[in-house]
Amino acid sequence: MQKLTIYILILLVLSACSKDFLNTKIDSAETDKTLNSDYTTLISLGNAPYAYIRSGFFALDNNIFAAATDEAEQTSASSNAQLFNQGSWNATTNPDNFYANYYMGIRAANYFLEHSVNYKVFLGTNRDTISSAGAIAYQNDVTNVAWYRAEAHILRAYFYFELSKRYGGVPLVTKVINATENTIMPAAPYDSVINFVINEVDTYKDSLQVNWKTSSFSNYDGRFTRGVALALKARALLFQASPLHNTTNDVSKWQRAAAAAHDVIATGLYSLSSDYRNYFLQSNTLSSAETILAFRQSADNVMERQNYPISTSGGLSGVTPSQNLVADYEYTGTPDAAHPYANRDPRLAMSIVTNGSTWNGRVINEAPGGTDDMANTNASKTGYYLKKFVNDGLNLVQGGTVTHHWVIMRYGEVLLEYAEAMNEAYGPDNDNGYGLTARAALNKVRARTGVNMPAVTAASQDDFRTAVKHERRIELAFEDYRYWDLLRWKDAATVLNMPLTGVKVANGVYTTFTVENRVFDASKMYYYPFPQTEISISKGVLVQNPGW
Amino acid sequence: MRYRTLLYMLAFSGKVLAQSVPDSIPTASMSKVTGEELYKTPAANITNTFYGRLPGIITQQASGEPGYDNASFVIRGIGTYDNNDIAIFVDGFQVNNTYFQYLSAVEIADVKLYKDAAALATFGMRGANGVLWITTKRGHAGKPTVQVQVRNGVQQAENINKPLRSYDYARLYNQAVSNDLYAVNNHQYIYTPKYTSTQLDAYKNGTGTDIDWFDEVLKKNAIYRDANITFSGGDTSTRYALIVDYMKNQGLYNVATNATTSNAQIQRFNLRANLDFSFFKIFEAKVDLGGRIEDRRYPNFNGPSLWNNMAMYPSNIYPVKDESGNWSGTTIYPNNPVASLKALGWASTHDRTLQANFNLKQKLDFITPGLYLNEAVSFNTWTRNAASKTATYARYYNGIKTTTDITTDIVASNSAPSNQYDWKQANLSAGYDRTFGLHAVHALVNYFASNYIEDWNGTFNGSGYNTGNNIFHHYTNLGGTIDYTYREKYMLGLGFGYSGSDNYAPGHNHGFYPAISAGWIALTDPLYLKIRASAGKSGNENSQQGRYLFQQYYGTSTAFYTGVTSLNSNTAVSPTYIANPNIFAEHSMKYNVGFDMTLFKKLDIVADAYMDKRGGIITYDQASYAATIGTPLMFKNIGKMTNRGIEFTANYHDSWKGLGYRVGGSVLYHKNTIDYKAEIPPVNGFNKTTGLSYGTPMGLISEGLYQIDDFNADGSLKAGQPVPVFGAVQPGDIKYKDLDNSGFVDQNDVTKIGRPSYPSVYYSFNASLDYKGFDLSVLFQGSAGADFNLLNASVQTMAFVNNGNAFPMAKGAWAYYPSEGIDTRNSATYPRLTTLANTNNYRNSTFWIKKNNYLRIRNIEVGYSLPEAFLKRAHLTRLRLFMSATNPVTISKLLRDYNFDPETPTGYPGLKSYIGGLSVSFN
Repeated sequence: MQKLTIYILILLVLSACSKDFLNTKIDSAETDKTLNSDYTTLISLGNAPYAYIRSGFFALDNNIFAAATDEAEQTSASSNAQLFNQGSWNATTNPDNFYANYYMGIRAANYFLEHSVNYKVFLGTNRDTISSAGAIAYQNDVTNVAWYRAEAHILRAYFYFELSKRYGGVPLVTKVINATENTIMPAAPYDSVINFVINEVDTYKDSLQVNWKTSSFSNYDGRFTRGVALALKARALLFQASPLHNTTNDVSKWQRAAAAAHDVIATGLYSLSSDYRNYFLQSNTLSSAETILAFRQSADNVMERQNYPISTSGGLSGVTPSQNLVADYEYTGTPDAAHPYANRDPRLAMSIVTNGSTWNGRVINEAPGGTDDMANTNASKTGYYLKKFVNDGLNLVQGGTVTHHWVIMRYGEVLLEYAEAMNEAYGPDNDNGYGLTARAALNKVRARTGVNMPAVTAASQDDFRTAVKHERRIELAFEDYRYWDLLRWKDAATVLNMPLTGVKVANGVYTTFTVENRVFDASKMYYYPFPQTEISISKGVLVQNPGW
Repeated sequence: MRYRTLLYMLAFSGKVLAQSVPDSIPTASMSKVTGEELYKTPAANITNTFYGRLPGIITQQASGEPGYDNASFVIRGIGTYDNNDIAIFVDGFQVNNTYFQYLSAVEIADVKLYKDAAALATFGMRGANGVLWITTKRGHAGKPTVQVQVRNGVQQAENINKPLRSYDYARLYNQAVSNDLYAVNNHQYIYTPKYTSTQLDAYKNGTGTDIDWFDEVLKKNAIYRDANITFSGGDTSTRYALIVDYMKNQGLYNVATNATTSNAQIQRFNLRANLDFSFFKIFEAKVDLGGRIEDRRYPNFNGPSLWNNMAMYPSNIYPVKDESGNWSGTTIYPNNPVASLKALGWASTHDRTLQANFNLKQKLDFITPGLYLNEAVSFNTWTRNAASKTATYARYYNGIKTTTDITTDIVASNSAPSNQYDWKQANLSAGYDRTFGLHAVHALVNYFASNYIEDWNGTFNGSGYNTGNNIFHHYTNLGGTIDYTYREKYMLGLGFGYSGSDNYAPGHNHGFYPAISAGWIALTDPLYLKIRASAGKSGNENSQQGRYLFQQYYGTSTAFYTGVTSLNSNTAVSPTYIANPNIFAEHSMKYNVGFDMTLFKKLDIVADAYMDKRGGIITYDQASYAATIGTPLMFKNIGKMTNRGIEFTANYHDSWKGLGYRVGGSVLYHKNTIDYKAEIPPVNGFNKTTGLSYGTPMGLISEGLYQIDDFNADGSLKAGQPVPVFGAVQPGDIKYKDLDNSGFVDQNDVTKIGRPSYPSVYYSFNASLDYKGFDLSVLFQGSAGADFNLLNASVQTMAFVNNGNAFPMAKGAWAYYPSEGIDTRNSATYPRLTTLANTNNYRNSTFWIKKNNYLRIRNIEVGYSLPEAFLKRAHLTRLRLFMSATNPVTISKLLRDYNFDPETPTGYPGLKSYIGGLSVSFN
């Protein structure tokens, strides 16, 4: 009996400590093993870098970046924009700290590139490549993965450009770093980063899709194209040629930038939209030939909720345009102090809600006692409301939604880049054989159907430069160019230190007043500080940008 | 395998042997409480009977909601910043809290607490946080006895913090809106009230809307009753203890429990049959069946949300029903608290649980005296079904429908399973107990195998929990102890655990946990003194960071959209963390010295000092990688923590002229330090949290409130003052210290602002008397060394924010409206009021940190046992009548100053109870 018991006992022990008892893992999620098993997961890896492109609608305080510049003011006193405005941001607290985000995107691109090297063999395994349908399907998959691979290169370049825009030179990582490898590295010089971007574009631009819309893959529209790569190169070279990075004013840099911008124009794929107001709304953004790259979003009402006047149910006032910006819109007739918004560049009424204009089904009345009295809690501090990107009359109480697509690259901006670079390289009226002068490019933008602003007459290179800067300010208002333009032109020290102004109206009289004083510390703020965590971890290897 | 050989050796060499676990190790630190003592506190949930009764355990009360009233336990303080959950065993088998919490005190013989390495090493990878070892009642040979106990009484809220009523609310709201216009009014405070004086007068004289939501929803007394019958007895071959127990506990809601509505309520039906059989001289068999049904019913509205709404909805928003008799409700305040009780129907759950154990012991004295073998298995299963009858209601305001909700008929839903688990375990042991002359040896080796299967509960899906339903948890442990005593004076103990867990990579999933302990009985009579010391290792495999961290997983998400007219979402795959093939259980090195002393057999003292050094705490290693790696990082066994403490318990008992009395008390002090947690070094040394205790609150140092003369006419701060970066400030806002003199008050000025929210000192004392059949006992329990952050009770603290309410605290707000006779500039105890989310003021700082010490009377009981002479005529052996009060009195500064209960400041409050009862025994 005892023997039997002992026997059973030993048997139980043996069974329980068999190897399998402590190996219970049943994986329902993707693992290394399942990851490279089929076309779909391979494509998912190719999609992964796209997740790290950011929508400008969520740049700061779940809103556009404009309130951190002289374009606008955030209504909420505790907004992150205030950190920029009062100059109190630093390496520990930087509301625009997306340093790690971009490296995530870079790794995702590297990871896909390394995992899809043998894609042709992989895609041909265990499938029918003989029958005509099978062969076509196989060929389509091969073509698509080839595009994805080229896109991954340009995505990576795009992330490096976005990093360099903020931090100057950054560590250059071009392969997957494993956890066992060193991750702590110094920043590469700014020019190396830009040169990397340029090389990637030059190497892979012709492996990219040219136009998704007209291809048999139109539902892929939104993925990177040859035009995106070229526009990225143009932009990167423009930044590199700008005073912040081109301290010796090397004209050849401007020439390269002009040539790159011309390459975009020369594709002939893009043209200006004829409706400046509606171009930025809903699916117009996607269907227009002006768009080179847009970040698509599913329908929501964040922009409306954030930026409708507080007197509209559900609105929060949000980012309100400044008088600094409004003052810069040209007059098309004689200024009239009683009707300051009449006879102005039409883009004013298309981008900004002014007193007396119709918005959300009412005439905006900001005078004391009016529906939009500026004395109401959380009413606009500047006397203006945002109109660009914002759809009129959405019912927020009933939760109405509409699509918004953030334009990252558009033809109008490329023309302005071209105008700027050409002017710096060759002067306003020399086309260098491209068939388009700086002046013609600039005036094209001004002559857009529905805008119809008169041609620029500035004759000298300097005056023309002022005209280009002005045009960028107006044409690209709120599109997240202003802050970076002011940095690269080295104008931030003057412009971002000027008080932000608004306008008050009482008894029909408009008075400009200071909303707040702004601080930009030119000794350090031309570059972002690297995140404090990176500096702490690197123990001296990554050197903090000067002044921080 | 190494331990298999060892077991074989032990089993066949006949050298060593025992019972399934260290029931008593003479050199270990453990404490004990009997079921009878726990029964003194009438509480639905067994965890609420532990306060101050079991030295070494820190019990903190949580919600008092019937059915969800589990108190939290930690043993000897916080040992790890990972999971501090203790391991609970019932009759030698591990159970989870679901099984433990609704055991009846009547089922329990005693509860032991294992605290030091000598006791815990044998539990291996599940020992590090301490073990609660529960033994249920068994029958003893002798005459059958029957005991019947009945208790009945009421429960009440310990404390409810009520908001201000309409008049005060509106008056202060006027200040708040005026304050918010400071910037608009050119940086001046100009009184611009929202409520007119007519409205204020109406609130004052009772003609305005003024609803006390707590009064509307709650009643004062809730039912508590329980009853139980115990049969026990047996003979040398068969013994039994049969227990049946019923408990009903209702909530504080003022609503009937019927076909369409329901109070919160739990009823539990416990049945236990513990049987012992002895046969063939060498066999002893045990069968334990401990089963239970729990039926819960609630109003069909989330309990915590209801309490939140009662606190958050101002008194003047609307009457309970409008003139047309419809439920009031608005888009801002949609969930009328009274309608939440009465118009939504009810929801119920039905739980069934059973622990069934079978145990067979062979006494092998014929091989060698003292040798025995023991085999046992346990099946533990739990299922929950849910059923409900629900309705919705239309919301009206002044006769107008305000939301899209419509009133519907009440509809029954089918009973559907909602969750389940089962747990199969086996214990195989060999033991040896023998004394030869001056030598005594107790030895035990036990092999434990556990297979726990649960369904994913739908709420937690942390990294490494990627396995859906039927999630297995497999665990094995070979544990053993040998205790040797020489001359009944010198003791030496060796223990070990060798555990394996399926949480870790195959081939890498076992750990060895040894311990050594020694004791010396220095004195025996009249002063008995035993000195003990122990050191050893144990582990913690129950990490909150997830299981299977050795396996690389990838998550899927939407990367981006493409398309023109219709959008396609494109899926991305990305790693959830970097797998660590070497990941393993956190380990603990425990050191303990102590003594047990008895003086004149009347005074007992137990004292211990301990240290618990944790290492290998599973930690997200953010300090080793730069962002250039571009992925979520790796979990590593790198965290370190140290917890130290002392425990002291003294009890004295004596009698004087027929008056028996006992007094006693115990105190525990502990302090922990995080030695390493992969914190990235912050800019300033004082920003660091490494080196502080776990949960130390971090924030800014408040320097009081800004006054008017701190500002320039344009509203900016006068020169020389640091500028806070959390939004524009104005007079009456909280002013902070710029610790690093950067000119700004920002995240770099954050430092330690107080003590953790759990106490460092936990103590209790008790006294009891008995005289001629009368008995009286009282138990106090208190704690000290904890801080409470008022912002954690944001609804009560942050007046008007998010359309919220105002509580009496807001009356101390800074305000300056001389035209209204308001000037609290110098007496303010609260920043200026605002209707906005003010990120400057409502930010962790010393301003909001308050001491949270308390002392409660946990239990007072008065009883009378009828004289034996009388009982004999009625064929009774015992008849006792008693009355008890639980938690009747609380002394706390937090309660006095802010009306916050020290343990349950928000939500469903902790409960006090007043109960009468009767206990009858006969045989």
